[in-house]
Amino acid sequence: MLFAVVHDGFAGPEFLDLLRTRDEGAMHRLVNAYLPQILRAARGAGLNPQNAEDVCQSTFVTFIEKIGDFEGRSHVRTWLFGILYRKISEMRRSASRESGAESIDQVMETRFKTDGHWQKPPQGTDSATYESEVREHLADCMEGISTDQRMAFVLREVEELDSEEICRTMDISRSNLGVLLYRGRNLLRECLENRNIRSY
Amino acid sequence: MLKCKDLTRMIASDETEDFGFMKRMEIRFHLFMCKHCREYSGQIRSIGQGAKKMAAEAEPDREQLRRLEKDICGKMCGSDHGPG
Repeated sequence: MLFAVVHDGFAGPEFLDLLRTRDEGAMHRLVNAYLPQILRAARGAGLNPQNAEDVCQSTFVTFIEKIGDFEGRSHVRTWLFGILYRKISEMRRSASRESGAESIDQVMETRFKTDGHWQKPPQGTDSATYESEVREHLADCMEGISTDQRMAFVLREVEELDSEEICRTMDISRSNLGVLLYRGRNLLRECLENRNIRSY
Repeated sequence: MLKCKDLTRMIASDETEDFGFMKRMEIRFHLFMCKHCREYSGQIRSIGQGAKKMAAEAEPDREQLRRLEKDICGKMCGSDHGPG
């Protein structure tokens, strides 16, 4: 990935030393390099513009406060995303309820016969129509999935991080990540299908 | 023989990225033969692409980024917890 190559210098010991001494130039470079990604992920996780800005600010402040704990073993970006993820999780835990994640597993069960073949296949449409339906309803459907499912989905699809980095960011196993992606994507697909059923 | 139910699980959970050549071929063959799985797989892909487009359209403008960057740098410099 080009981005990772370009910013690899940020993981170097010299740059980390500059940050530890609160070097202003280094802090500017860090914020300049990663703010767009962190802000986009915060918005993608479902925060409104003001909350997203606030959480970005506190992510960078926490980063610099805890820089002494950072040993440079993971990428600076992974560490930043990890801080962001924990802050969003805390906000969500106090602000809203999580949806029943297991119910989507039951919905998926009903879609297949006992021999593993489709019983209730996806509603078919041409790809251009489907894309316009996604455009119309995806934002609303995203509101219906849990913070963890949403974060995993956004880090994968929007930020295009590999599985290993997402697992380190969210501190979960590869199979946990698989379950989050599976449930999140199927919840979104089911939601879109329910909304568009009238048009078939 | 790969079942549709297993295939949807592999696709939606990104298990396929860890697969070797033979397993990938098996999946491609199944998708070639099975209209419903092809439909499902295409929809999962469109949802991901849709999320990416949505994020691109909500990108903050340069002015907003510059202002926020200034705020953050101010706060970071102001945080005087000392190194380590």
